[in-house]
Amino acid sequence: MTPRLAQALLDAAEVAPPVPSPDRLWRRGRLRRRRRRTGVVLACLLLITALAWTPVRSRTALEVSGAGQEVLPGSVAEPYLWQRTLAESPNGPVKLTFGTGHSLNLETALVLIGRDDTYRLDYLSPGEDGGTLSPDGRWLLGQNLRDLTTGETRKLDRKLTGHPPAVWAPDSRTAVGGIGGDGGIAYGPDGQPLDIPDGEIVLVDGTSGAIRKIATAVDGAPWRAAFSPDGSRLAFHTSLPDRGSMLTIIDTRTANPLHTVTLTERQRLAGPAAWTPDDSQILLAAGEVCAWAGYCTDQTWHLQRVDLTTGTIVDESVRGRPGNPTVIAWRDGQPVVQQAHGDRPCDTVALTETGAQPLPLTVAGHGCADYARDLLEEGILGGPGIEPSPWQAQWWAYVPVAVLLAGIALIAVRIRRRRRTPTPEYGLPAN
Amino acid sequence: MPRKPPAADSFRDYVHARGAALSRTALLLTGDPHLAQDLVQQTLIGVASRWERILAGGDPDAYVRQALYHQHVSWWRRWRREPVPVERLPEPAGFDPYGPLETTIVVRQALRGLAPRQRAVLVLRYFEDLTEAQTAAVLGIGVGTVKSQVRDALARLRVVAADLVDPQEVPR
Repeated sequence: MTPRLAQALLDAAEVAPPVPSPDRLWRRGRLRRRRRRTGVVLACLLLITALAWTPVRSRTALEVSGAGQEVLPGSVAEPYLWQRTLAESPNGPVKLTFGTGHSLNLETALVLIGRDDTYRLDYLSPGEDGGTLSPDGRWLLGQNLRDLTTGETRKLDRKLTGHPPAVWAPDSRTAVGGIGGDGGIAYGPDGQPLDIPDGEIVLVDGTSGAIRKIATAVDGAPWRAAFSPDGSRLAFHTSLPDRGSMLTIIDTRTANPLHTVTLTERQRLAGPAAWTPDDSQILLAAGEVCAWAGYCTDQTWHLQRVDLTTGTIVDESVRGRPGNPTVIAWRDGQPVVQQAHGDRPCDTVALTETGAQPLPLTVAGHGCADYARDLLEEGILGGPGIEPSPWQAQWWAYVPVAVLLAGIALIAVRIRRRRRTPTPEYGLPAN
Repeated sequence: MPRKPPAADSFRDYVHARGAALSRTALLLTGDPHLAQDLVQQTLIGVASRWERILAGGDPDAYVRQALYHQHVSWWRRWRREPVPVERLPEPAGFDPYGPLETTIVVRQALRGLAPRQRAVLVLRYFEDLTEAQTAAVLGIGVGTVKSQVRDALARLRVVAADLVDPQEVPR
């Protein structure tokens, strides 16, 4: 012990400053306590949120489904708002697409589900249609042609209208779409159009992006089309109140019409897969309550088969099928139909001679999903439901996550430091 | 049966009882009355924010002392990279055993010449009269480190204020 040093320290400490008011110290201490507790609660909430995001869940779903190349999921959930975009990281060929309102640009976005069950978003402009998926799941044809494996857009010689949506041939190499007129409509004194310009129906070559006129249709008039199984012919149906309802079989190589069948306003081509796989018949959907253009809410329908050899039309025995039907594929010799309903989600059924067999295909989002036809016809249906991984995110979504993780790490380090400091067992020097 | 005083009252009683001692220790650690006051204030605010837990531990003094020294080291770590302008180097000071004011100045100057941990070790050992083991526990360092820090600090003091240290007390 150094008595001199001890005494000197005692003397030097005598001029110590006064202690601040205990009441003020107490109030500031309580304030710090409240802030600390709030911080801890927030950190815990953020941690729980982060843990809920862990990719384990989606990875499990992937593993269960076997990352199935040939499996269509039994259910598909909505994407996250921050899901990665198609342009950022293409995931084609895809299994299916559907529209969603889960979009940061406040417009409908197209969701693309890859063969590996990954989610991608494609933001759409106001009024833009997402496009039609090719049977092999590689191409998306809207106003232009998108290659889903590279994300590149192949500009066509002329833009398609996208309304009605394009229809693909079964081989995914050709599609048919519409091109609008020049928009110059002359109107008479009574306000009625004097001459509605014709739009063009064109074949689109999926390989080169070249287009070739194959028919004409009144601009904006509804039309439906279906390719024959070998793609050599096209069934083209257009209907206008003053021009009748015509089903025309067109040679896709020469663009010459081969047959024409006059239909009623209650009959229409049943969908893009209306041509039977044996190339012998074309399916029609016959409305039972009103004309299809009437859009009556209680409409029911049944199938009709047009014999391509004789031209005769035969009704099926079933009546009163519900919804607004579209034949989208063939499975085990039965037509697969999507039925849109005004008051409930779209459902998919396989039509039988006595009724319909529901298929385990439930998809979130708007309207009916667009499936890769090859997969729908040959794949396994009813696979495990899939949900998006929150980690398949756009780049900016990682910024708050990184900040959160840094904060948690900082807190952990501070707690660890505090715990490593031992507490001594003796008192302060007496006054 | 007497009612247990609320936490605010017990904290006030503690500060009244121990505040002056804390302030003296803080003055020796910082060498500056204003810094000492800030150091005490920051320490006690932290103590107030955890007062119930500290009371439950049964020995507030131990926690408060540790908090004071760690707060001081924390300040030093935060500010050590900031340059301190010095007009001229201080000359070695003499020791006047008869004047407390002069003693204060000499001790402050001498302590300023030490590293913060050396200063803390000296205050704990020779002002608070703790053992080497207790000093090591407060600072979170080993007993060997305490010994070497004391040796170095006393050796340094002999250079800047030789009269403060008895020659035979500097350990080898």
